[in-house]
Amino acid sequence: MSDLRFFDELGAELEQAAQRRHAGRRPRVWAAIGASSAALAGGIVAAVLLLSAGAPAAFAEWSRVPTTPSRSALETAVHRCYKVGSDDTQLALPAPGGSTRPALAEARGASAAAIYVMDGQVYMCLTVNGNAFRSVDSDLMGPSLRATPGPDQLSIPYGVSGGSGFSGPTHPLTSAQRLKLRRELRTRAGREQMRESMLGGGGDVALGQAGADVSAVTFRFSSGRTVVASIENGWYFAWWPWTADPASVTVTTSTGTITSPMGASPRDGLGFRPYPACQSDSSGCVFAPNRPAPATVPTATGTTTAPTTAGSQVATATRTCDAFSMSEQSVPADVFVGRPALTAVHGIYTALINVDNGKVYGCFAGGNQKDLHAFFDEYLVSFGRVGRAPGADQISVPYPKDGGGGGGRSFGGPGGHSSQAHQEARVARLQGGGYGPYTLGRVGSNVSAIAVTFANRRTVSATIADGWYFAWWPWVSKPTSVTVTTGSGTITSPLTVGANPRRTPIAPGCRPGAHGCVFVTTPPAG
Amino acid sequence: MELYGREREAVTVFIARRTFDVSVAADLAAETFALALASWSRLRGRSEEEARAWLFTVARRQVSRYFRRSRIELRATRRLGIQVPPIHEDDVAAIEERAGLAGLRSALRAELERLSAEQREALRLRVVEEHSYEEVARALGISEQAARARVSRGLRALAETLEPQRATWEAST
Repeated sequence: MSDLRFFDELGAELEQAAQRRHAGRRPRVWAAIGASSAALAGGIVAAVLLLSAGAPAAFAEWSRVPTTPSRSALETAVHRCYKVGSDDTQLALPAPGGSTRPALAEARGASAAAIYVMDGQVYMCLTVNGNAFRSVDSDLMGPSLRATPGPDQLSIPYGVSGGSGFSGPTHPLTSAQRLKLRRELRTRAGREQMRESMLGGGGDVALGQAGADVSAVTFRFSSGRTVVASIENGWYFAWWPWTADPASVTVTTSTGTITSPMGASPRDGLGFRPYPACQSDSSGCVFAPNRPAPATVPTATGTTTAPTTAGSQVATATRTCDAFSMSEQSVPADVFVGRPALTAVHGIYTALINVDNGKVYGCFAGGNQKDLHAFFDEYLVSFGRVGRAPGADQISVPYPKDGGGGGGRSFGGPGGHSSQAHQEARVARLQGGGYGPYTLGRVGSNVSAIAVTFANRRTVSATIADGWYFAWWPWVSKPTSVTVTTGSGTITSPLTVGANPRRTPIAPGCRPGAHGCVFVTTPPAG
Repeated sequence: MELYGREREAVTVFIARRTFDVSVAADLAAETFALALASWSRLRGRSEEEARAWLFTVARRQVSRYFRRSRIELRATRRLGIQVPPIHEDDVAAIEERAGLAGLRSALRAELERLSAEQREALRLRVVEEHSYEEVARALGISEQAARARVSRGLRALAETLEPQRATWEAST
């Protein structure tokens, strides 16, 4: 056993260090600090118990150093991932046996992974003991994945730790199985990982581009563990069977080795960790692309409240919504960053609306820092043709499939959708700040103001920007009428929903049966 | 370097048997030998036995510190500019085999299976998840006193079985 590679390599390192000492550069070394026998005994007790857990079955043969997978192992892995993704065109991987070769392939013990880069999309396939996990770049880390690093740099995603975790088997574990889960449980960090893993098991991945001169990448965790990444065709990849962020990353190039801290700044409420220590143009540094600039606040008319912190509020909402879009496979990447079609600030809530490839996407973020949440709806599904362009003096009024809107569908605050009584109780508890329905649609070019009125005579003005309007209200009820102002005057029309909302128009002038019908501001003749 | 060539395997196995993690053992072994290198002026001239005893004392302290602080500290390697090389998969398997970790895991697993489900759950809540006895009692729907008893009995049962094996390994190194 004494001829192990590790021993040889460590021996070479010690030899070089000894030579450096003889050459006069003699560093001072502190002696090791002794430990009390009590501490030692405690450590052993913990270790014994935690060892008893053993490695989880799913990750039993993981190795921190990757190897080249056999052809059959790779084909099996791709086949499993293909089966998982075949019913979802967005996540479809190349068919097994096809001519498309992965940009990177690796094995870690019994697991195998393949990274494909096709048509500007990056696909990850990872199989762990028969379980297949696959993802596309928008899930993993968004636009930073496509950032090109310098020759001695890495692109580090701005998401958590360079990747997003994947879930392990979701079947419930017995107490005995849980006890077998992790062998790293002997440390506090390991136990914390255990808690996370017991919620379903899983791990984290790191994936990005490596500069041409990068020959080795090693991630180090606060527990002291290290994970060596694979590098192939300008990409690097690693995964580890626990959910923790690396504390640092060491990059080796032809000019030497550099270690950069990761996650130096505190994690914000959204789980993001920017890496301010590294600049995109600093040579030899690990490259961490900055997040896109937040959307600017448009000059919106009709805003019910104009908080003084609108700029930071919009920036926070943009980050929240971007994070949310990354976790939703059906939402395009970056749909909420850049310049949304509409950005509306209503009190504590911020709405971002955008249209991408004919579909309308909306995200609402609000609450205090402890209560950040975002909601997403694909309005073509929920609101029919709400995105259809109205006439110059018209607005489009959503026609909810569930008939519950009258110009708005409630969105879930903390706790999600629930009974009317429960919602009202929650609204009361949050003092009108955490819950409410909303309405949105398109406006004609002549429309300058929109307000919805409720049975209790309360009125809410809508934000209008870039041909869209949006309003929300922190109570659970539906507006009874809408007032639209155009260049030729103001008209108020009732908003009513018939017994069968799929067949009865919401307002006069709406064509029967039209989902998301256009509301005509000109009163009917006579 | 002679000391390293002679003791590197024994030190690594010694640490692996106490940390149950070969990658941790590799790091701590590297730190141990780095300390030996840094302290060479004190070690030079000592007998083989004395040098060996010194080395294992340092290794034991490294293990102790690792458990106490829940992290690996590589001060000496860093100060000496030593890069701890990654440990290869084959090396891991070889060290695990030499350290008999598979046997220990198997023994522990068997012992755990022998415990009652209630005791296993109590151990998990108290030792793995670090809940207070009050929380353990609440989770299990029993009194705090009963929770303490379950954890205590479970620990004692494991210790009675495993301590002799551990003593054997201690003696072998």
